[in-house]
Amino acid sequence: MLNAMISKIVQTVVVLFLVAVVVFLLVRLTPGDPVDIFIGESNVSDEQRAVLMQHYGLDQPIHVQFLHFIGNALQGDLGRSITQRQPVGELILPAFLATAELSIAGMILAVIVGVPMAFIAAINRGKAMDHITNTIALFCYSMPTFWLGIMLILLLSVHMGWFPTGGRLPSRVDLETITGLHVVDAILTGNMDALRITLHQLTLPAVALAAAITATLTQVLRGSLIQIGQEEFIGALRSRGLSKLSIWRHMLRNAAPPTVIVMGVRFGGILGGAVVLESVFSWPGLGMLIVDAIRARDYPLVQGGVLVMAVAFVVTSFIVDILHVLMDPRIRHQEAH
Amino acid sequence: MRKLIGVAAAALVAALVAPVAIAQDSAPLYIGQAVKPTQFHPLLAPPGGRETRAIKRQIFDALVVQGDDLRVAPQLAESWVVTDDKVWVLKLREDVKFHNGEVFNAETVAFNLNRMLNPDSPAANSSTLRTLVESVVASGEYEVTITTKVPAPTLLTTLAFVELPPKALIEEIGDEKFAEHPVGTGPFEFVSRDGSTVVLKRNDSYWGGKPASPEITFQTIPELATRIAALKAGEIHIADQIPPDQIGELTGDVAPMTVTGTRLYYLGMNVNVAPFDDVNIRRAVGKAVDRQLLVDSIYGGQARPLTTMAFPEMFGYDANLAGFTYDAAAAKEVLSAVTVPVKVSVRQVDLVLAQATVGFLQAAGLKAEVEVVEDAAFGDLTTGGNAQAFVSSWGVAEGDVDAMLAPHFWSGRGDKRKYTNYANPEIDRIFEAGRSTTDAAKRQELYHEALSILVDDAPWAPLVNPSEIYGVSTSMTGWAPSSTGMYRLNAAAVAK
Repeated sequence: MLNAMISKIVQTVVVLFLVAVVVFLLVRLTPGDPVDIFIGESNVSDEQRAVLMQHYGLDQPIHVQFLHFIGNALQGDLGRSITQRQPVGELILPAFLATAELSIAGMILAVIVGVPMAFIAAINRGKAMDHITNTIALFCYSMPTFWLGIMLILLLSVHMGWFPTGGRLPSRVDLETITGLHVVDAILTGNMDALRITLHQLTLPAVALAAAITATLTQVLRGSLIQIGQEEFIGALRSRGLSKLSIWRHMLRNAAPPTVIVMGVRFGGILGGAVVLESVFSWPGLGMLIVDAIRARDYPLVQGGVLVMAVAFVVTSFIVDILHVLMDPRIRHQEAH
Repeated sequence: MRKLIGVAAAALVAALVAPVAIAQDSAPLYIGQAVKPTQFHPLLAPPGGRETRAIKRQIFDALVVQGDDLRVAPQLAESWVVTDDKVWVLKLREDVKFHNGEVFNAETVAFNLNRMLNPDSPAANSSTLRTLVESVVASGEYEVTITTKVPAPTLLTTLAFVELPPKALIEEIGDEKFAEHPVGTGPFEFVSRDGSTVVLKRNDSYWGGKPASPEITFQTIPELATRIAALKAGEIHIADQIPPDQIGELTGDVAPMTVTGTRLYYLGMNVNVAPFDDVNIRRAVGKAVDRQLLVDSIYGGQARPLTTMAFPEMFGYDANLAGFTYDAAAAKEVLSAVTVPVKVSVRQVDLVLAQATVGFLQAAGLKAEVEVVEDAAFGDLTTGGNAQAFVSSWGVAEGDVDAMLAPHFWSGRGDKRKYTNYANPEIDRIFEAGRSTTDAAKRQELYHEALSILVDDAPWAPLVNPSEIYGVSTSMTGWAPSSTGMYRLNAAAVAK
C-alpha cells in the first residue's frame, strides 16, 4: 500500500512537471502574444512595444523564461497576471473554489437523484419504471448543458422569478471568508442570510450540471446493480431471508466501486472548469478564467490556471484510487500480499 | 498670435459637466457587460477596451472629455489657450480632490504626463502623446503648460484618453499595488472586484455634483442570452452589446436604446498580391457591395452604409464626397474576368458580415470564399500584411480622420502593422500636414483630399458603421448611451 502510494506520488510529480512544460510551450507557440493582443487598436510604436515586452520579461529567451517560471512556481509564486495586474494565485484561488463549490453541489445533487433512480431501474429491470428512468437519463444526457442552462434561466428566473439568472454571491452580501466555499463559510459563521442567498445562486447552475452527471451515474450504477443482483451471493442472502433493504445495501456496496471511479474521473474533469456552464451562469470559475486568459494570451494566468487544473485532476484521481482500495476488499487483499 | 479655443465649447458643455440637480435616493445600479474588464491603472498596460474604459471613467477623470459628438469638452481642465500654435496653457479646476483626499493640481498633471512621455513608460497608450508633445510643465498651482513638437490639433483628443491618477499615493505604494485598488477623482470610488464583478460607490464630494446612485456594480455576463435574461429579471439595469436581431426580445420592463457607433467595418485588400495588386479590381470590389442591403438585412437598419472611410461624426468627413456607389453591372464586368481565387479572412465574430460581403463578390463573378481565422492568428495575419483580403473593423472613438489614417495608411507610424500594404507618399504628406495645423478649415480640406485618394486607390472597400445597442430597464432614469461608449452615470437613477 505504502509503495503504491509513493509510486503514485512520483507519478503525480512527473505528470505535473510535464503539464507545466507543455502548457508553457503551447501557449507561447500559439499565434499572437499578450502585448499584440492588448495593443489592439491603440497606436503603439515598435519602440514602445519593445519596452512592454521587456516589462513582462517576454524579451528573454524562452528557456530563461521557463526556468524563471519553474523556479518561482516551486516557491508557490505563479507570477502576476498581465491583463489583471494581480498575483495569479490570488485570481486562481477564488475561481477554483467557485468551481469546486459548484462541482460539489452538482455531485451531491446527482447522487441524491441518481442513486435512487438507478435502484428503481435495476430492481424493475425491463419494466415500465426501468424504461421511464432510462428515458429520463437519456434525455438529461443528450441535452446540451448550455441549452438546459438557458432554458432553466428563462423558465425559472425570467418567467417565474424564483432564482437569479447568474453570478455567485452578490456584492451586497457580507460574508467572512474562511474556506472560500460560500456555503461552508456561511454555515461556519452562522450567517443564515448569506447561506440562503448562496444556495439560491447555486441552485440553477448546480441543477444544470447535475443533469448530465445524474445520467451517467444512473446508467453506470444501474448496470452494476443488475450485474451484482445476478451474483450467487445475493441469491444466498435472499434465501437466508434477509430484508430487502439489507440486500439492497449489500448490492450497493458491491456495485459502488466502478461507479465511484467513473464519477471521480468526471468530478476531476468538472473541477477543471465547466466552461460552458460557467459562461451561461456568469459563474466566476476556473474555466472562465482560463478561457479569458487564453484569449488574451495572459501567459502567467494560463500557466497557473492549467497547472491548478492538472493538480485538481491528479489529486481527485488519487483520492478515487484510495477510495477504490478502501471499498474493494479484493484489491486491499491483493496489495497486502 | 493668441488664439482662444475652447471657451465657446466650455460654455456649451457647462450644463453637461457642472453640478446638476439630480434625483436622490436611487437604488444601486447594476450594469451587465459582455466582456471582462482588464486592470484599471491608467498608466499601466493593458489599457483595456471600451468595457474597461467605461469603468475607468467612473473612477478617474481626464483633462478633457469627449461629448456625444466626439468633440472634446473641459473636464479637469477648465479652459485653455494656445499661443504660437504650439504652447497650450491649461487652466485646471481648483475644487478637485482624489478619493483619498489628495489634492488634484498642476503637479498631478505634470507628474502623470511626464511619466507617459518617458520612453520606458509601461503604459500602452503613450506613443501618440510622445509623437505630439515636447514638454509638460506645472506653470502654476493650477496651470499646466504643454509645448508640442508641431502645432497639434489632435492634442486635446489624445488627452481625453489619459485618465489621471494621484501622484503622492502612487509614489507611496507603487504601481502594482495601485492597480489592485485604483483611486481617482471621478464620480465613483473603487470598492472591490472579484471574478465577475466590479463594485464602485458614490463619491459624495464629486466636484461635478453628487451622483444619484449610491453604488454601481459592473457585472461580466459573457453569454448574451443570460445578459438579456438578467435584464428582464430586473437584476441589471443596463445590458451592453445587444445584437440587432435581439431587439425584439426587449419588451415589457426593458427597452432597447441605440446610439450611432464609432466603428468602421471594411473589406481590406492586399495591394501587393493578385488580384488586388490591380487597382481596377479593388475599385470594382468597392462597387460590388450593396451596403444598404447589408444594413437592412444584417443590422435590421441599425447601421449606416459607409461609402468612404469615415462616418459623419468624424472630423474630416465630407458628405459631398460620393465615394463607393453600388454598381453591380460595372463590378461584374471587371470581376468576372478575374481568374485568381480570393480568400477573405475573417474572425468568427464578423463572419456574417463577411459572408454577405463575399456573397456580393461571388455574384459579381469573383471566385471568393470566406476563411474563418482565430482572433490572435487573425491579428498576426493582417498586421503582418499577409492576408489576401480580410473583413475587419476599426474603432475611431477619437472621431477624427487622423485616427483612421494613422494606424492604416500613414507610412511613418513606426510600428510593424502592414494590413493592406498600401502606402502612398501623397497620403503621408496630407496626414502629416493635417496633424500639424490647428486650422480646422485647412484640415477639413486636407482630409477631403485624403478620403478622395483612398476611394480612388481603394485599399479598403468600406462597408458599414453599425449602431451600438443597449438593453435598458425602463425603471432607470437619467441615462442614455453615448457614441463614445462611456457611461455617464452621474444622473442615472432607479427607483428604490
